[in-house]
Amino acid sequence: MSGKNTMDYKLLIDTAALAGTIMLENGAEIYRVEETINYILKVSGLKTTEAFVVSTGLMISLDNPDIDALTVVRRVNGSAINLNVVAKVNDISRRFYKGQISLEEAFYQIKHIDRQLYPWWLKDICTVLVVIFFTGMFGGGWQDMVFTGIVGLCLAGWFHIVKRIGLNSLIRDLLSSVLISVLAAFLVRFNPQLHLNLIITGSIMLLVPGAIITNAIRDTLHGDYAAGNAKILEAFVKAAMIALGVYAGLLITGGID
Amino acid sequence: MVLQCIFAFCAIIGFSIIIEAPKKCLFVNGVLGMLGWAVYLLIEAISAMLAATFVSALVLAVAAHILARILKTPVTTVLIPAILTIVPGAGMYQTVYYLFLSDMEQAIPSLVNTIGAAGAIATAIFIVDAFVVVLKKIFLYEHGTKP
Repeated sequence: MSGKNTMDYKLLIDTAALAGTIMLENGAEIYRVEETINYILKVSGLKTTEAFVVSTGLMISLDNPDIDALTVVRRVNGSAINLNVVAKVNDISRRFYKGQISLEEAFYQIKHIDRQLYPWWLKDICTVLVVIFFTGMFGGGWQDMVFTGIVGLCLAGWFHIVKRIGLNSLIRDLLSSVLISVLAAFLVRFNPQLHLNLIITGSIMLLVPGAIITNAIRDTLHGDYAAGNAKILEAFVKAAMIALGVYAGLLITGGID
Repeated sequence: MVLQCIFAFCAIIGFSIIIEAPKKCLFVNGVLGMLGWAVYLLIEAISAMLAATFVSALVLAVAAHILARILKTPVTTVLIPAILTIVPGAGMYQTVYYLFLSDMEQAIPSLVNTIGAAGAIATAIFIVDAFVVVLKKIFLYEHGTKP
């Protein structure tokens, strides 16, 4: 670690804020974000290093008797899940803490982290495969799986449209599940040997808020009640939206009869 | 049943790619998804759905903590994809379907089961996490070093 006088505190706190922002945006737990920021700040050896993180923002402070306090506040929007980015930033911060890389290197690496590990077409293929295999997992036959693949294909296309027009994530879930149940009901109408429940269940597994539930529990355990509560609420609202969408879809197709 | 577990394996690998799990985690996630679903199916055959969800989540959480430490990656990168198989999506659909049929006698139990399953997963992860925190403290105390 470099001496106290040579360290660029401004860059240090910027690095910490950047690392925290990126982790928070990509679905890390609150305690992990605070831990990472603290790891980075502790390298300075200053007396006071504080990180206060909530699910929509973070505050970082760095202070010592001989310098003016430095404070950074960042508002964080949106929460996608990108586990690779979380793992990478986590790793960079630990290597910086151990002194394996310099501050400039750490900042550069965090700034230029590659967010897309897999190309978009691979993800689309996976979207189709995931719904097919989930249907199989719940006990569907090969016919169910093939026709779920059609639903999956439409979903993959729909997700591209959603991304293009920047739809609110709740509305996205609602409309996606309407799409799923309408499509499934149509497929079943023309192929009566299919199982409606398996096709719909397999497809909505793409939307269920499993990741949010998991993070909510872990946040609550670590004493971040505000974030934990917010995420539990988010999971419930999402689940309700999906249920509502499926219900609406069934109503629409049931009404055509 | 073996076939269903293999499907779980493939589905979880696909889902891991969608949420951009690191490449070194993909295979492990698939195996964990398969393990979780196998445990779930086995226990559900001899007991109830809630018990199956709880035990499966417990096994998954323990395995995820161990494997994440071996792979040197945050626990979430393993736990989030692996837990997905037992998230009660089917229960959610059933509840809505019975509501759609205005069959309240079936809808209420399946709603309770769905919320119960989510609670069971939460409790299982909670218990394992709490134990890990305690174990970490004991380990650090013995070695007297910072993490």
